Amino acid sequence: MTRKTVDVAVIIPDASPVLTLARIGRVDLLGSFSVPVRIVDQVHYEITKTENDPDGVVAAGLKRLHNQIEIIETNVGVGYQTRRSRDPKTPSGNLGEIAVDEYATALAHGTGPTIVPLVLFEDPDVLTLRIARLKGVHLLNTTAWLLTLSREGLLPEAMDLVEQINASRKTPMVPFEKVGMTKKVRSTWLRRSFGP
Amino acid sequence: MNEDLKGCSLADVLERLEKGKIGHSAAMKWLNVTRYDDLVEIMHVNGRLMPGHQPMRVSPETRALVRSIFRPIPHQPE
Repeated sequence: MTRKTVDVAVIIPDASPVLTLARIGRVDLLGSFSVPVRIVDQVHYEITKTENDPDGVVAAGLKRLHNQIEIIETNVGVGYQTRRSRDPKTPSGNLGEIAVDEYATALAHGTGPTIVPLVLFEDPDVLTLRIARLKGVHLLNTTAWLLTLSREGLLPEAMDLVEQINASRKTPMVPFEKVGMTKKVRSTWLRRSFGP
Repeated sequence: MNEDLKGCSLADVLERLEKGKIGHSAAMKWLNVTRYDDLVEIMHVNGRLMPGHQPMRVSPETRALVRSIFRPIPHQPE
């Protein structure tokens, strides 16, 4: 069987991972991905709006990573900003999820099996979205990502960061992973790890 | 106190607990803690696991994926 090389796209479909990292002062960790991190415009708005980022710290942190954070424009996000320009009190409701669904639909229709979407999330509702059902999708929550960085010896302080995250929560964030099924496609990361 | 634990160091007690040679209550009495959570905390802080527990599993695929797209960054305090 012919194997194809695939690339990885990191997608953040909800505001929580970025806000969690911001709470422990480590938004810079998103810069540890050697591939671009994609955030849809509506979710980016949710992350940086005044209610979630009153001092603009998160926005500044993301701005410092400007060449690594890819803001994906969606009709939902553009439409919301148009309405908001007319009425600043327009509620954003669950438009973030709808924008992510729009992006997932575009990915499903527009990309072949050359991309492994790595979805970094926290909100369990993401599991019900189309983004979580994309072909070959690999799901990780923030603590599972940090736990893996620790196990691989890539980030010595990773477990301390998990403790800091859990210290500000009512219940600990249980690491969650769902491995991408790549039966027909051997991705670059699998080849590098397990040989040809 | 459990007679077997007389003269033991903390490391000895934790090792015995990890290997299942002593029970929770004996270890808790020796450590002078009353909550099971405190016992687990002491074990974890000292790099030990409770008997029968497994470390949280991370799949090889996840490890390979995360490793392949990681690049070290200097910590920039915010």
